[in-house]
Amino acid sequence: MKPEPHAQRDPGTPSKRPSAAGKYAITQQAFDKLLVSLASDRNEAGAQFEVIRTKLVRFFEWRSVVAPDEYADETLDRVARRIDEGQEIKNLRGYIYGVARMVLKEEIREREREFVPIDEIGDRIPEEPPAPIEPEAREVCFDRCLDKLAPESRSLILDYYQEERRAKIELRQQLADRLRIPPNALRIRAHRIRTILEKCIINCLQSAER
Amino acid sequence: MKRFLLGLSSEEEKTLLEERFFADDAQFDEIEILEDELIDRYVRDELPAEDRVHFERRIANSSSLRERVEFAKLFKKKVAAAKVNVVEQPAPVLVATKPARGGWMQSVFGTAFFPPQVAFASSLIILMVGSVVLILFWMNLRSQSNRIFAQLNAAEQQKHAVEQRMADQKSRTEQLATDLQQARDQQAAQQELIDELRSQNQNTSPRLSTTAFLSLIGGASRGGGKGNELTIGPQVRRARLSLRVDEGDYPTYRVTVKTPEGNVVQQQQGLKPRHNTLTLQVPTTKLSPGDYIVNVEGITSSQTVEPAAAYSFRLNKNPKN
Repeated sequence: MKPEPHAQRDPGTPSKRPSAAGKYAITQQAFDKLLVSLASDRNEAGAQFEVIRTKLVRFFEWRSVVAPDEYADETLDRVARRIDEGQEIKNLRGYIYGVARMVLKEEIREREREFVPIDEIGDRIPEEPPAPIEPEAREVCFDRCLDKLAPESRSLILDYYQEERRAKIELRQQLADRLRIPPNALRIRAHRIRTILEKCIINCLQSAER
Repeated sequence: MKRFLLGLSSEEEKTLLEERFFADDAQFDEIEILEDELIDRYVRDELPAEDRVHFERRIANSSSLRERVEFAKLFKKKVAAAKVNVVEQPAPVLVATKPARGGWMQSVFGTAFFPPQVAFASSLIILMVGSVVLILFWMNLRSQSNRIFAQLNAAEQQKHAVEQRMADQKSRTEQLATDLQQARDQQAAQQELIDELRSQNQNTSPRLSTTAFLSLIGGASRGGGKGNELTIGPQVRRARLSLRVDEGDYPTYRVTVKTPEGNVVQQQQGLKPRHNTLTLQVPTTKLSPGDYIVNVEGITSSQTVEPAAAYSFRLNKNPKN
């Protein structure tokens, strides 16, 4: 798998974001070592990195963490630091999960420390909610990203997500037959294209904001 | 997984699932796909009310999820607008050219012109070759059909045999079940009898003898009571009298029990002594309280009757036991 071009973080370079504790900034050397420990081939390592980062983001998201991306990067930075320090890790994925759980615990403690009872809020100004995205902008980005997809991917995703229940099942079976793949493989393929489309739209909206 | 995605899992369940999806990419894909489906169902208003409430709580806490919901709404709109092209996908066109002048012959033999004789001969050859091919094809089909028919027959026979075996098995099973039931019924009846006997035993204990014994020797008597007296309770059904005689006097004896008034209560002939003792049983229904005389007579081998001994005893009845 080639690293996703619209990923929020380029797997070839370390995060520029300082760590949450502010004590450690990941070096290029530590980051390279992390990639090497994922796979000997650089491209494969990039793909692995992308998968693990996505898992971390989703882990923090499912644990109701407000900025899951930042905590995912914080986790990866800590793991890279340990590898750079010479720590021998046998089960890297299990180790990453362990570090993620520690980061989550710290985040929960931080959240609890910052908790303010309602009668103590007083005249505090609440944080401004993010500005709503114009529906037109979203639609423009959607069309643009859909156009960027390969024609067969575009056709597949539009056919796969047809709505009518009965027809949907038949259509999916026809699609699977046409592509000569089992229905579950089609399901995964459609999901991957959908994820690419989603990420593309997020990037498009972010660049439109700037 | 649905519980996990709705934020309803326990900490243990969450940890277990997280460990699994960190180790296994397929597992992670599965959760993500399920979440896509959950979002789509939410957008289409297909979620049950309770699930919807939980899911909306998650949406409220996650900007990323809100973004994905927005995407799903727009996606739904775009997909609805898009034309379904699965069935309309054009099939690959193998021959897209219009038939040229000269028809199929020209397309087969090229653009050169052939005289009618050559064309006729060629057609004849093609027809013959085609016929041979068709005959061969038909023969092959027939052979295949015969083979399939034979296989079907064999399969049918096998099916019958299996059905027969199953029917036999079923019948045996039913027979066994019936036998088992009968055995159980018998066992239950026996158990019932045992219980009844136990209950009777408990009611009649301590156990009392239904036979009273009295030994009479040479005119005197020794019995269960005092001297020549025999006292019996209501449970006693018979009185057993042991009469002492001298061995070898007579081969058989006749014993008569009677009242002092001469009424015969019981008489028995042909009694043989065992260990110098004759034994006589008298039902208590024949005996009233009072005195009795027991005459013992010896019967010789010539069937002559001779007086051998006489005894007396007194019978008392105790109404309690």
